[in-house]
Amino acid sequence: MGDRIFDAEFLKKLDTIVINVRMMMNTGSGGNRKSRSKGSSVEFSDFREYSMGDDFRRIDWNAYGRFDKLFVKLFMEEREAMVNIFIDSSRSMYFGEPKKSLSAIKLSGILSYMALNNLDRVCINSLSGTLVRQSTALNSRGMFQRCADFLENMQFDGITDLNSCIKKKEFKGSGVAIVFSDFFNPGGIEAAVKYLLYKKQDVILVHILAPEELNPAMEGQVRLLDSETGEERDISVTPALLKQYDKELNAFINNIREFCSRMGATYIQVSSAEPIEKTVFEEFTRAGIIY
Amino acid sequence: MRLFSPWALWFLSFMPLVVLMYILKQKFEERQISSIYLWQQVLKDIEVNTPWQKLKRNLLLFLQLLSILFLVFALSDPYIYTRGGMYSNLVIVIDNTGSMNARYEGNTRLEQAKQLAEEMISRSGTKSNITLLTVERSPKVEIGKTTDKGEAVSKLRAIKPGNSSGDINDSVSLVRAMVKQYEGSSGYKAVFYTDSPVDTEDLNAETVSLASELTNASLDYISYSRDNGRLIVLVRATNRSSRALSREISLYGNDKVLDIKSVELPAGETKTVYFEEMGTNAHYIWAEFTEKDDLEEDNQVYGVVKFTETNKVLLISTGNVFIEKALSNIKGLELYKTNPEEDVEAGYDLYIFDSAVPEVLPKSGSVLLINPPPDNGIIEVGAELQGGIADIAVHPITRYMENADFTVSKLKSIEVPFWSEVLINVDRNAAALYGEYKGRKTAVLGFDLHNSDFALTTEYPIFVYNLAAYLMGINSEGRTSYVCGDSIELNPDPEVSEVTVENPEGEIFRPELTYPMLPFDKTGQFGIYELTQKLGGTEKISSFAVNFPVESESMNNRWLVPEDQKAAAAVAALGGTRMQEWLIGLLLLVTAVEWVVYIRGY
Repeated sequence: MGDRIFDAEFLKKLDTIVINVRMMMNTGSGGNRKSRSKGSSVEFSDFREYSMGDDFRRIDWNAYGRFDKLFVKLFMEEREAMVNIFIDSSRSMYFGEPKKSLSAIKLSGILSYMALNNLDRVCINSLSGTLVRQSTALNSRGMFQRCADFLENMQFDGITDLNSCIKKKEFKGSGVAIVFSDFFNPGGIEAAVKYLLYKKQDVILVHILAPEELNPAMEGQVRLLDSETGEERDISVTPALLKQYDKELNAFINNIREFCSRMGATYIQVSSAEPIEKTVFEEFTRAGIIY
Repeated sequence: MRLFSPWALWFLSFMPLVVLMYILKQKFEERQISSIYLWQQVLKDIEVNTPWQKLKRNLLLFLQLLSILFLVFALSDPYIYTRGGMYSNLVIVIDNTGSMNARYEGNTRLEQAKQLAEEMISRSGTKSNITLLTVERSPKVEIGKTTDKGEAVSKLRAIKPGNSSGDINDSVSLVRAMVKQYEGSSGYKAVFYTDSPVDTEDLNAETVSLASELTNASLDYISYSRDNGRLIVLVRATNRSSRALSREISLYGNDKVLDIKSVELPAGETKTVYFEEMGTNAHYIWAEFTEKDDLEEDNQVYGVVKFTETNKVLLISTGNVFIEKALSNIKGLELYKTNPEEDVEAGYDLYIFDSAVPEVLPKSGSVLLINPPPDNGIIEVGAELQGGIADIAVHPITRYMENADFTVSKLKSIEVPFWSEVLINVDRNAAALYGEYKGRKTAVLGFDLHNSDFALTTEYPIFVYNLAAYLMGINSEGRTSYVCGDSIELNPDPEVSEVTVENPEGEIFRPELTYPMLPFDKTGQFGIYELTQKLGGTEKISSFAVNFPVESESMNNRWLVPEDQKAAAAVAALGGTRMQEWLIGLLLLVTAVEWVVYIRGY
């Protein structure tokens, strides 16, 4: 991949980012962080009315004395989370100025680093064609270098069918699934998201688009060449056409966003031209991935 | 609206070509993008895939088509008549002289003039008075002060090309007289359509020049001489254009080709070509260029071959060596002599009575009385007078006798009759006179030649020849060649009952037999005319040739006309707008817009 992406400067930047933010996880096997899911822990969180099947050992009898109702004490559960990062490594990701793949790799690096810092386990999945190439599960900060190597050596080529790729991934327990893609996927992303949710994954979709995809600077007679399929399409670019494109792009983004909010997944749209810090501090924070 | 150069409209055929180029050669800038996934969605909504739909939205193409349209129309030079009836009186003068037959942009100058004039009429106001004049040998009013445009146009269309020479400037004074009545009213406009410059002076006039550079050679002259019964024909040709021409001259006798000769004519030069030893009995000869040029009317020249008829002359004299010698010099004349005592036979063309007159004069034939006795039955003769120095009157018969100096010692006192004209006076007494008496040509010489030194002067044989020629009807000048438009004196024989003239096209004219006879002026056609004189049961046929007036009408007068009077320039000045400049302006505008569109990439 030419120059190293994760050079010393980047790693220094990583530290600053990680000092300032923490990642929100609600699943996994008891890690070093507060998880959003309520469970058995020493740190009290809330009460909830007793329902059948609850562990009656957790009933707060004092409360029962006062309210004549059974309440169950809820505690913050601290867990080790399993963070799965999926990167669409199709040819289309290798496009853009700067390249979308670069943003995906950098953001994956940052998120991995933060996760490893939190003693969470991280697995990087490169999605290509209908196959998943996954790194070994990484579970300590010292293993970040392996994670970086994996990311840097990723090849972006061919067509990726996100749905079938992700469906091939086996999940042992709940965790966090972060998908980096441009989602230019004829089959859509719905099936994959549903699968991840079914597998009790906290789904975060990071939609990376290049500036020229957000604002195409074209004019006159243009023959568009699809980088993945090689398909050609002749268009005469007119202001009306560009307007229509803009409309279509917004519809495309909104479709995914709406679907995510309906399914309880997190959606972040990122431009590959944006500085990494801005993406992390603004987009990720706004989406509540980190705090 | 009218197009000056309608040929430019052919360029409109470029328009489909441009469209075709757009369809076939839509040049696409190839661009690889990550995925056309989104674009496909876009294109699904805007169906721009078929070529026609691509064109539909192509602003550049439309601008280009528009600019072609403007360019072509600018080239075709349209002219819009804004207001026609600016003048309530329109005087149109059309030059119809021979030179107007010259070619002008695929037409003749005259046809072009007629077209322009027709347009002029059609866009004149409905209540305009239209006057149409043509100028041939002299100006002629074709139609005067009509408001009926249709009539004016039909008169205009009926104008036939003339071949005569003439000066358009002759019409200016006529036009001035005509427009005088219009002055002060709503104005007039005179338009001259001509190929020669017009001095319109203070008239509100306009000249539409139809002059153009011509490639023209002309045959100017044909003549012949006889040599042992054979003809030697001389033809003169002139190149009237600015470049050298080579021509072939065909010589015809009647309608048969006699000879063909080539001649190289350097620019502006005249050459004489001889055709020698032509044995022909043709009564007319003509020469023609084989090649055509811009003015074809002057490409042929006609001449009449004269036959020398023998005229019989009877001299009734006791002996007069002077008159005998003088008559014997005249060719084609047979002289018979007789004594006054003998009977005078009929059948002679001329009777010369020297000092004696018979009691009964012959019934026909001209008469010359020399030293007439009293009671001659023709004129009153008085006593003998003392003579003196002769004074010669100016007259065709006394031609070349200006320097004659002779005296007459004795002469008869003659009372000048009403029918005669005096040729020679001696001391204010008529010594020689001539005229037509009772339908026969008669001349009287009032003195005996022996009583004068006249016979010793060099002018004497000339006088006798001229007098004999007049009396015998020999055309002494031999004029059988005229130019178109000439008026010809026919001078038929006195006893003729009918005269007909047949022009080269076979048209027959019957001039009225009056005295004096009106000159024959239907000489618009060039070629050989036949004059037939009916005399009892016999017919006397003679010919004369009428040629194109090359000297005045074959001129290549392209440079004689100011530039602003050229046909195209002149029409535009008449109450209309020339669109070319506007179209060029629009063209530039469209091109600018096109450029902006191209740069901005709409």
